[in-house]
Amino acid sequence: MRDYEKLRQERFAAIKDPVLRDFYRRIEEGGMAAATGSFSMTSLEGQMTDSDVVYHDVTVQGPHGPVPTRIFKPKNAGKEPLGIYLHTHGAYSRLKGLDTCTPMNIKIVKDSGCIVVHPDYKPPPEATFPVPLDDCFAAFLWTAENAERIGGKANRICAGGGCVGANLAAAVAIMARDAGGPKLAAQYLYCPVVDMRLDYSSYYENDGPGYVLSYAFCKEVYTRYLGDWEKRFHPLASVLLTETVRGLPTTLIDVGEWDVLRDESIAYANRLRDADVDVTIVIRPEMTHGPTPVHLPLIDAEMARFLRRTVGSGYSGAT
Amino acid sequence: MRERGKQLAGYPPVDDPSVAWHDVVVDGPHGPIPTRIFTPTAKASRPRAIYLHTHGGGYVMWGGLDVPHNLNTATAKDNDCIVVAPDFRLPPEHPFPVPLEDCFAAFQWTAKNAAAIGGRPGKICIGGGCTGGNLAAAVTLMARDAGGPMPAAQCLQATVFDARCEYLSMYENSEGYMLSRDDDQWVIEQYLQDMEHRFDWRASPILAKTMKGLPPTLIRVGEWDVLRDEGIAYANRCRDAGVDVTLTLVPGESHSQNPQHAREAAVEMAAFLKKYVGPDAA
Repeated sequence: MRDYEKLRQERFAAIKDPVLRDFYRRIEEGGMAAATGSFSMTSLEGQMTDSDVVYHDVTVQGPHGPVPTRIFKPKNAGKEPLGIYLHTHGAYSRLKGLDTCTPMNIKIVKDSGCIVVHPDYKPPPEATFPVPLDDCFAAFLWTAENAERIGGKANRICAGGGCVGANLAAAVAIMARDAGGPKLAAQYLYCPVVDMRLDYSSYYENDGPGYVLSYAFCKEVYTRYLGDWEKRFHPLASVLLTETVRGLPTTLIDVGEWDVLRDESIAYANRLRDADVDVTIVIRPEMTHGPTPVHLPLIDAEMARFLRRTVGSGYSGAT
Repeated sequence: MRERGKQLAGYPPVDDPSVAWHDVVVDGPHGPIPTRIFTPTAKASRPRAIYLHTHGGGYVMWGGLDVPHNLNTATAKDNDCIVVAPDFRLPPEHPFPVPLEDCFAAFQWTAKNAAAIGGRPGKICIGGGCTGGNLAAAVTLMARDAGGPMPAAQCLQATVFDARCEYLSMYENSEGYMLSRDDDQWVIEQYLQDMEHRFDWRASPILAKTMKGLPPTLIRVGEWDVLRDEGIAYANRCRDAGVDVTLTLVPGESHSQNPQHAREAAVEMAAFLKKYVGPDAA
């Protein structure tokens, strides 16, 4: 076993940026609670309203009942169809409720010029796999069907999210491909969970105070989602185990170098690249799991560029 | 344990007049590797295919040139091919990556000396069963990355592709099917010793960065084998990467082959060798 504790101390000691050093020190001392606070400070902080963005709620009928869904649009959208971002949020129940993600979704609309569709899927532990996923897939089908009515195009939808939200998006992409109906044009996988078997070097290397996630925490979260731990081998839970990744949409994977999820992100990117999927992976130095005040602007900008290129104003595919 | 392993391999050697053999010494990075070369005695009008056999035996067993001798004789006879069988170093005395590096040296020697031993240059199939398949798959990846000669085909039977042992079949087929998950982990521990090597693609070929450029591949594994799902996963990765891969799942077979399954495996291997490295292979 490598001395990962020594590595951890060396890493955090070598951080030069005072903002970043302070950020990690607070997480190191305060644990997950401090991390949660940090998340709210960065990605979730913001206004519930914005003069440039409008939103309204709809109810999507899914196989397990209604899925409350909020649709965000630029206020002054012209006649040209816009790209659509289907946001399958991460953190399961911690981000439950349409309001929780609203500031984040408003920002995505402003950054990318796209429409955001945000389903408030039923989260674990009350709803276990595949219920949350089925809710997200129902939201995707609704979005494709109603794309023009909400100002978009059915062939210009990107699904995405962070962590377990990226897991849901990646599984939606596979389900859409296999269902033979509408497909995604892109998937945005931010620090994604793609393999719930929890056996990569990064789970050991990046486990300890300050890293936000840990092996034990991930196992707890996955177990709650799966209900039955043996379902970790299901290819819509551990999407890396899917029979083929051919035909999956253009992909951006953005992950921290110090994230427990780093190595599975790399493995998924490798698999997609081998199958000639258009995939980009960005590995952020000095980033653990989730954004830091230093990394967040870079991540947001990269995501907005990706949305514009694949489904937004820079879209150059079939019309 | 090694004694019991010998019995499983078909020890002691029986001479067969249709197959001649001689021993050579291959120089490897860890010293000499005794290697036995089996050649059909019948006159050949054309150079023969070569099968480089990296033997199985749970890494720790089947050491000594005499142990897999009868198996190699049968392969040479059934396929009218030359068999090169390196007696690579074994764990626990010689842990990872020594056995693998011995096998890689044996491959390079074989590629260089193909014509001299009566083989068709460039027509080497590498293969083995279980841990031998693991070594063969890793040698093929190493050869591709080295940019030199490559195996023209790989024949991977009931192979360990992932030293992490985390697949459904590892649990489904663990009790009462001959090889258990504990057994598999035990032999992997003997080989790796430092279990963090399980994340190294040379130990877990499924973790290789890319499968592009691999040669035609035969993966054969029993439906009731703990190794089933990693075989499927490797085949999936290869197929996605455009590799010509055949996956054969054998119904009702666990990690041990009954005589009928063994005959069927030999027939399939013969057709595979003929197609990709035989005298008429392109």
